[in-house]
Amino acid sequence: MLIGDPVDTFMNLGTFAFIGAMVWVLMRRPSD
Amino acid sequence: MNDSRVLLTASIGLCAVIGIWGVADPASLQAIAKEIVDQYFISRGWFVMLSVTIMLLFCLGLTVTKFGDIRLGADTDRPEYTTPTWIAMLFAAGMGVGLLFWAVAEPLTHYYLASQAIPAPIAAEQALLASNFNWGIHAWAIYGTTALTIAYFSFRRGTPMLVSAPVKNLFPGEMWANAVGWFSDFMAIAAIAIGVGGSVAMGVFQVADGVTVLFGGGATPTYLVWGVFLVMIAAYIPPLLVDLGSGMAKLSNIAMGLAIALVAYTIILGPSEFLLNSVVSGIGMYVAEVIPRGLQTFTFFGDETTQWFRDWTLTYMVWWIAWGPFVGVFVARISKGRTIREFVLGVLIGPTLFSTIWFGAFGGVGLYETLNGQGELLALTQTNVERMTFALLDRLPFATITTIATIAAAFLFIVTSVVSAAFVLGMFSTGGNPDPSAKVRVLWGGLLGILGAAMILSGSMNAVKTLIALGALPFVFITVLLMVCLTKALLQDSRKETEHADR
Repeated sequence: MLIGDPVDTFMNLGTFAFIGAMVWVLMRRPSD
Repeated sequence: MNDSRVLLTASIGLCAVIGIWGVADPASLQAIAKEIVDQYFISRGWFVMLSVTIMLLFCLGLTVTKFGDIRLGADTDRPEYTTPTWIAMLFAAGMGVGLLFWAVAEPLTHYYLASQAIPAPIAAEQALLASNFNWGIHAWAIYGTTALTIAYFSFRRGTPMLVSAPVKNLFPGEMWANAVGWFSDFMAIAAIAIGVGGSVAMGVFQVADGVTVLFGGGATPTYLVWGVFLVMIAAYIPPLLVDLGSGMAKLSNIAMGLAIALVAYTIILGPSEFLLNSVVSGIGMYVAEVIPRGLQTFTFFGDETTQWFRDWTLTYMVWWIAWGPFVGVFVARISKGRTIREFVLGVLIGPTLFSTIWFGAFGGVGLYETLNGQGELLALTQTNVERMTFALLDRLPFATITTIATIAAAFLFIVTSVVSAAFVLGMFSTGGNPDPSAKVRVLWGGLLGILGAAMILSGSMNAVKTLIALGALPFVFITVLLMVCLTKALLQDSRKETEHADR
């Protein structure tokens, strides 16, 4: 089977979420 | 003010818990920390390497754009320190003592592993390349990114000198920004305190070891360890009482002077032509490989190579990232009045050039002995790696003088680390004041001494090292966040300026 380790998958989902958050921080307009 | 007191109590509390756990049951602490660190390296190694490469390209990119002209400070500000003193200070804070002790040991350890799989000459080149990479421009790009962000926000936008300042400044009053900011400061204080406490302990052992070698070798007696510890405390208190210019600047210059003298001595009295060739080809290999190497994760290699990659390159990168807030805040503090271009080129090129010459010379002499001599130094990598620098000096003339010089340089590098750490912790604990009072600095100096003593008592340096790596893991994310904040602020400010000019 080519399915990876679940811990690894979980950790990298976290990494992707972080990358998404960074894009959000960069693109977002200030609230004021 | 109340906020910073809560922060301080929480971070000192965390250090105390870890300290007590470390003294009471170092084995279990180390086992848990190691498991987390290993899993992190396996899963996120790619992200660490990608992030540090992006930081490098980001820093270099700034120098070729108009942003390079921006001055860190008011447009009329000029640098407080001369460029050589500035580079000596950043080098002493950022690397210092480690370089003295890995000078010969690291290239030869890499060589030992590589020579089992590939021919000796190529193994030697690869060994030098790996050492240059681990101590090279990527490390300084990490420091540079952190320092630049803190400096920009502090000197151009008037924020306090804290890791949390950029995100709080960009998103004022937002809950997530406050929470992330608080966590960053909390982790920064804990990581600096544990890291510097650990390096005080390691440094004391190394200096005591050197003194033992000087008097004929054998095991290092306990009274000598504590003697060195007391002398060190006595040595770092006075520089904490005076200002940075007359304390830290002078000590860094002396330490750098000694380090330069040691390299020059090795090149001149050692096999000069071999070493100069080794320096030049080391620089060549490094320049050619620096970017691809930064993205090399050794994923198609066997277990032994990937383990080596995690134990060395990844550990170093995470380690530099962990020192980022400490070195970054300190470097930001001493860089007021420089332009971004001057800053980046100075921080990236100066120290990197020095460490490539350093490894070219010391690694070169080790490899010379391995390829043309008895191979005694290579054998030492497997038995007594911590005494290798002294073993090398012992094989060159005037060994007593150079051993004393090495001990003195090591001593000074540790003192400068503690002085700059106490300074930075002083800033953090006073809400980001760039000039914390002498009383606050001495208080932190004392606390770092106590932490160092606790770590000497626990006697488990490996636990300390794993802990430092564990504390470092969140900073991979925090440092990337800082870079993103700086990008956003630069774009915002340039947009504002264009609007202003149009009007």
